[in-house]
Amino acid sequence: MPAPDSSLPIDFVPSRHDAAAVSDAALVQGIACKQEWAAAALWARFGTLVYRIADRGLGSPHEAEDLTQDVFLCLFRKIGTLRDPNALRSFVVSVTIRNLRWRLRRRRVRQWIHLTETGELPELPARGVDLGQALHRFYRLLDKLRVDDRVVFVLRRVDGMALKEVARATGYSLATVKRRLCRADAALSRLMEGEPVLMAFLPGEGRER
Amino acid sequence: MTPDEESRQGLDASVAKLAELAALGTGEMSDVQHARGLRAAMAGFRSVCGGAKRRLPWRLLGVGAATAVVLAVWLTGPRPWQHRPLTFAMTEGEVQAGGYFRAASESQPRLQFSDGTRIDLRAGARGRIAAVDESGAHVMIDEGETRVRVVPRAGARWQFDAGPFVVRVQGTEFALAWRGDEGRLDVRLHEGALSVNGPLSDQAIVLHPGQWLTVRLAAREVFVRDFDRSAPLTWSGGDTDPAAPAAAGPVAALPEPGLAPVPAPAKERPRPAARVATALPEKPEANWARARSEGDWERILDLATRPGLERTLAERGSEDLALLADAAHYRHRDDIAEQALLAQRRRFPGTTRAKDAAFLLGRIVEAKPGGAGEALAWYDRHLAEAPDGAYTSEALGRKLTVLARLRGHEAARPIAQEYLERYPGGSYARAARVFAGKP
Repeated sequence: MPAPDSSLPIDFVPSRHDAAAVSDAALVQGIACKQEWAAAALWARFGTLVYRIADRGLGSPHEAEDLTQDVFLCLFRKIGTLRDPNALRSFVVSVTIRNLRWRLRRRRVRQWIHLTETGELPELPARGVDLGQALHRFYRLLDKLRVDDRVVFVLRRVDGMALKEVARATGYSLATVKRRLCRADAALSRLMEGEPVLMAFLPGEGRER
Repeated sequence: MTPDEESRQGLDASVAKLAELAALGTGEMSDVQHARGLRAAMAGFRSVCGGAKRRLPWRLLGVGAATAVVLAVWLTGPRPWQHRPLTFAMTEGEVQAGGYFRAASESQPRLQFSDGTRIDLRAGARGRIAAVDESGAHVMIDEGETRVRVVPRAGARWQFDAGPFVVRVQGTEFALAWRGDEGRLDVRLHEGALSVNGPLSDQAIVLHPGQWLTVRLAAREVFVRDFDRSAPLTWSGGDTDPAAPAAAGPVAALPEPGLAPVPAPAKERPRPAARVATALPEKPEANWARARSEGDWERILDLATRPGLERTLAERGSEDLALLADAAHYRHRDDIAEQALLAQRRRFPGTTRAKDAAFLLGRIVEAKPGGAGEALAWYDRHLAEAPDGAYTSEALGRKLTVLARLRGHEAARPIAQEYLERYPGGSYARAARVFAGKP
């Protein structure tokens, strides 16, 4: 176990801004040495990132907060296994995506049961559909994708990650990422054809590519 | 072409538009969420560190010893793939929906669990199996006497609630009796060890084999005495006083009206009863303070609901009501959070916490189906009451998004402009720029 960095006081709790002053290596070392300032700094540096991926992946702020906590518990337990402290960000993202996949799979089972009870998704009213409802409906469409395809789609199309970054975060090859993305795009385009109300919500959108 | 546009290149236009909306409408962590998340993360970190400390002694063992332990656990303990919830069945009766059970007046049924644990119910006993998992079960005894034998195994975790008391065990044999009308608890421990938490003591009472705990709430008395455990554990007392102690000797001298001593063949002379505490001062403050400092949400909810939620809402101070609202919200008990916040506003009007409660109530009702309109009213109330409060930027941001949803972008535009003027770098600035038409 690495020795604690003596240059940092034990009770130093960085804010969201001055957490940036602590190096990744010092953070990893601090957490491995069970120092609370390091845990707080980890949250300050990566809490927003983890939540963003979680919320965009799940489409639910409540679940995203839960997932974020799960991820940080994982990080606190596993960060000692990180060989290269400079790869901390990649490590955080990959742990987040692993947890996201797991949660989506678990939710998929529940949702399947729910959908068999109610049949198809209820139609939205032709008028009054708003942004929140549109997003809700969009995420219900994402629920119909394969979990791995959905994760790739969200990281690339919603979060705007570069393809190589998506590959690194998910552990897939670049070719697999492209294949999954292509499949998700095609599936969503197909699903959108059965969503005239959702289409009507998008002002001036045609079907051109 | 921006990186965002580039990432959606080649995508069907409508899907690309929805992906863009998703990027705009999701993923932003508010300051409130950030602060709440930090508190929870730190509590998680402390629990992880605590767990690591407990594991430390294993590292001191040699490799050989560790291997032997692993082998022993492998041979005798539960297999990893056997992590399935325990099952249970009831003889001479049936467990009803919701886990409720009751022993008829002429019967003495048994609850038998798949790990070998058994709970014998004395006639008239009733309660509920609240939860079962692979480690054990959470059993609530509403009334009457039970004899319990929990089979010891690694990781076993059993909890028995009796009135306001919580008995936690791993592997043990004991008798538990609760008389709700008298507010009296009796626990006789035959084997193993257990702890009892409850009112009258802010510390867990740990019992050892051969000890008998009696708590009488009305008199605020706690007694621990010895009983003869060389004989098998039997039902306590006679029919008129099922919870009466079976110990002989000095116990009879205890000033306990209604505790009729029943002669029993004592093979070992019981030691004099120890009066652990009489008229103990009630110290719920210490429990709340500890739960508060540890960020232990479950415990806070437990502390709030144990004496009855209404009583808590009527009696606890402003800080604890705020803490309860946080804990309840984090544990997805928004029904409790809402009540705590409403109590905050009712009981402490004009305070900063009451003003903040208006915003937090808005967040809760906004998440309910059709709650956007009510949420808007709460946000407006908060903005009027606390124009420069801690949540003002959040309230304005939420108002902006709710207005856009309810009444369209046009209605949201003035609020978006106000938001951008006041908080150009705020959490909702990106959305505000869209609504204000300022890319």
